[in-house]
Amino acid sequence: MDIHIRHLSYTYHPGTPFEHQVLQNVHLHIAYGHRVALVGRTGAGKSTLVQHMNGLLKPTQGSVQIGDVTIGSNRRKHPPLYKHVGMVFQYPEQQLFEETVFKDVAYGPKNLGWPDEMVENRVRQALTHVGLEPRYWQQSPFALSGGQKRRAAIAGILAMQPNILILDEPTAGLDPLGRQKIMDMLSEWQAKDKRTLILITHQMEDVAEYTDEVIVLHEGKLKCQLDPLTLFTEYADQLQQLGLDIPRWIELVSCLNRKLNPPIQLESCKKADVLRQVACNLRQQRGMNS
Amino acid sequence: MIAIGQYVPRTSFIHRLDPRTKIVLTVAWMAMIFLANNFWTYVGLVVFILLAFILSKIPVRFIWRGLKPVWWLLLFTLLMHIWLTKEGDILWQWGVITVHEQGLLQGLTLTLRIALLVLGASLLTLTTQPLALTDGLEKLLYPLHRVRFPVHEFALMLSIALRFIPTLLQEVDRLIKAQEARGGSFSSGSFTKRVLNIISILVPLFISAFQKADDLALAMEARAYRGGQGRTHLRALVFKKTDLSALISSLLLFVFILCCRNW
Repeated sequence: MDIHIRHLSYTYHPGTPFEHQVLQNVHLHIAYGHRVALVGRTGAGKSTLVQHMNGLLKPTQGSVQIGDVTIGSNRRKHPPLYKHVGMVFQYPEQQLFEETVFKDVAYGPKNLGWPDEMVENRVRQALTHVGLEPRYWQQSPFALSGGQKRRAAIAGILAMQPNILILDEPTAGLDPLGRQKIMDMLSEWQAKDKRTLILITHQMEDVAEYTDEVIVLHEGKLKCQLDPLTLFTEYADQLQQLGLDIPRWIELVSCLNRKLNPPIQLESCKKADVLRQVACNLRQQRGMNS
Repeated sequence: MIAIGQYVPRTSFIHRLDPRTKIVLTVAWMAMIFLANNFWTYVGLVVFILLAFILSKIPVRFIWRGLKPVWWLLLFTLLMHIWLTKEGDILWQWGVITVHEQGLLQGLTLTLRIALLVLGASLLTLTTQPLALTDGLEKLLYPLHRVRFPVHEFALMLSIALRFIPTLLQEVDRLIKAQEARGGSFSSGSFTKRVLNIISILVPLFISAFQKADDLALAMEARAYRGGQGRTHLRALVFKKTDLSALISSLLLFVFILCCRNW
């Protein structure tokens, strides 16, 4: 179930004084099973782009193809995509509404028309997967803490078992530990069945750690689609010109490289791998000096 | 009837008028519509509103959109009058349907009246920012504070309500999308299912509205808000020459109508 986006442009409020073009001729392909980060500054069009991927927005120009469903700029109805594409919005805890956590998570699966037994199974699985213990299941979702609400809301989408999961800043406003827990949980979910994971994020550390492809948007245009290692090492300057960071541990290496000869050639951009390489290199240097 | 938040930014004579002037003119406009009762008075009104719209530089499309919600009311008024009024000569007959002269005439004038009313009101909201409108209203109602009417609080309530309409609309849009992504459907499916689905929007919407109200109250208190006493405005309203000319031209129309109408 690949995603093909072809020459997509999108304009808000066309034909009014508030007309505003958000996306301009975006053309890209996301292969099934990839973990993709979508980065860019606020207002770059990230949220608008992903809303095209589950059919919530229709292109003004161009087309979007998900599996064998194509959505063009015409008015024709298309089959609903929520069965295949799960979408977790920003601050998803704000959409909780049922009396109990369990019922809220079951809302999506029920809408899919699954038999009751299957719904219950999937809800249990999802709640367990996000790490909400059974004692919370019959509580009101409004009685949970912020982080727990977030996890309950994500479980509501996971329970629908989408082939493509899109998350719009899933860790915004959480503490570092909560952030890591959610990212680990999502990464584990992706790895289990090799589904597609698309992540909008401002956390470059998360990009380096959890994804294998980065799409950079700038003012509605596609800047590049690369693997994170190349992006953070070879295009670091351009990235910073766009107002985006690079992860601290990669910055460390680029600082070290100014003094080192030969420089460290990174093989991975994950924190643990980078630090191992740095340690290894420093050990060698010391060996040479003494 | 008056669509809120349909302000269309332009730089025009009408846009620059003091909101107080525009409110007074709109009220006077309504009075004039009720005074008009013959051909020439209506011509005066139509010419006046057309001139005002040309001066406002508002695209015709928006004026049309302002009339859209009352379109059915206008049509209904016209048809009811033509159908039910049985006075004057018969103009046209087909089976049981007869059209009388008076019916057609009364239907047309009433429809014209409603249209003029709506056009006048929408000219006000099309050319005035909602906040300027409440500022103007506060100033105009100020004398009422002598009879202990809480003018400032009233204006503040109005401007907060106006301020939050777009925010809440955005919120609704976001919630609809979020629930649609979970398979909730608001445009198809059986009626009961759709109504049940609305709950999934209303509950979170109410929660966030209360949350926002709470936050706003806290933020206002944190910035030492103590009610209207001794409070000044960021944009002071100044009565300019253009306001005077607008008032005079409308006064002229008023005199014209008084002279021409059948007493």
